[in-house]
Amino acid sequence: MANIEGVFESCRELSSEELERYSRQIPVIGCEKQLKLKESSVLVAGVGGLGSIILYYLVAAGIGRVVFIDDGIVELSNLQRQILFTTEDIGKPKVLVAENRLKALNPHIKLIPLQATITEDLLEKYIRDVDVVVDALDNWEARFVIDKIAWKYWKPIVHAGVGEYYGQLTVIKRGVTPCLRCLFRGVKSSSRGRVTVLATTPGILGLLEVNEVFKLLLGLSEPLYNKILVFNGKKPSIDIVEIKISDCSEICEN
Amino acid sequence: MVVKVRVLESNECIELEVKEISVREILSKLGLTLSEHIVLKNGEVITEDDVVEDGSEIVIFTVKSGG
Repeated sequence: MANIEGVFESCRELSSEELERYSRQIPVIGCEKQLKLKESSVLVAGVGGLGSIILYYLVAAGIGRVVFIDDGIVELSNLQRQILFTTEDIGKPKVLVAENRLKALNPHIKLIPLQATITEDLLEKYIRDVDVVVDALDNWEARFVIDKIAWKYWKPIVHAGVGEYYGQLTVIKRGVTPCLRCLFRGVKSSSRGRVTVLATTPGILGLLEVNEVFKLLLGLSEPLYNKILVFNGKKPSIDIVEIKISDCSEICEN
Repeated sequence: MVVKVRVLESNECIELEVKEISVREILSKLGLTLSEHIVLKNGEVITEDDVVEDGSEIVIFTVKSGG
């Protein structure tokens, strides 16, 4: 107990309300790292099944500034897995509903909701000021746009994709890993269909993405660089596959 | 000699008795499409036209697009 009190005593930059709010987390990560979360900025691309869970946990845990982008409105078919939204929200812009819900969860966080489609111009404005980009998108075309701009500004991307009972997760960082476009170069970027997915799959992969964000921001351990985590919810099983790519410069530098 | 293929989604391990085989042929034998799968040969990402020789270990997993 004395140790815990000691930890809190060194947290002078946090208000008493913040100290109480994060009182179950500070003893685990320490005061400096809680402050590090407060000083961090994360961009979440997509506010769907993955984005809902990612935003809830980033905001709850105390990430200081969260930018989130989605051009969609809440639909009835979203509600089976997109837990930021309720039946009353149908027809409303996702990012605005998300902003209200997240503000109610944690008023200390600076929220920047962007109701927009993912374009290079938009990302040019926002990516340079964030520490980590989180891919919560539902199509490869937009994924490859965030990959291009994040690569340009040397920002890490936490990637996940989900479908049915399955999902994959990896972390991309220029200078350490190949870019997303090279790693997934066989994937057709135009493939965008109606996603069919068990409700829990984006929840699990979304949480694993948040965990990678914490690892990146706090230096807890090596992120999933050059490894792909493959999740199979039917079993359930998690395989971590090591990957090697000899030369991606032609794809990644253009 | 054989080419060992492990498909993560179904957790199947298959041994193909061939001297060499293309990625396209492996996927076709398994009824899989390249646009939805990543194929690794001894850990290295390979593409449709690459040829796999006997003694290689192949891992195939599905790439999901949804969010």
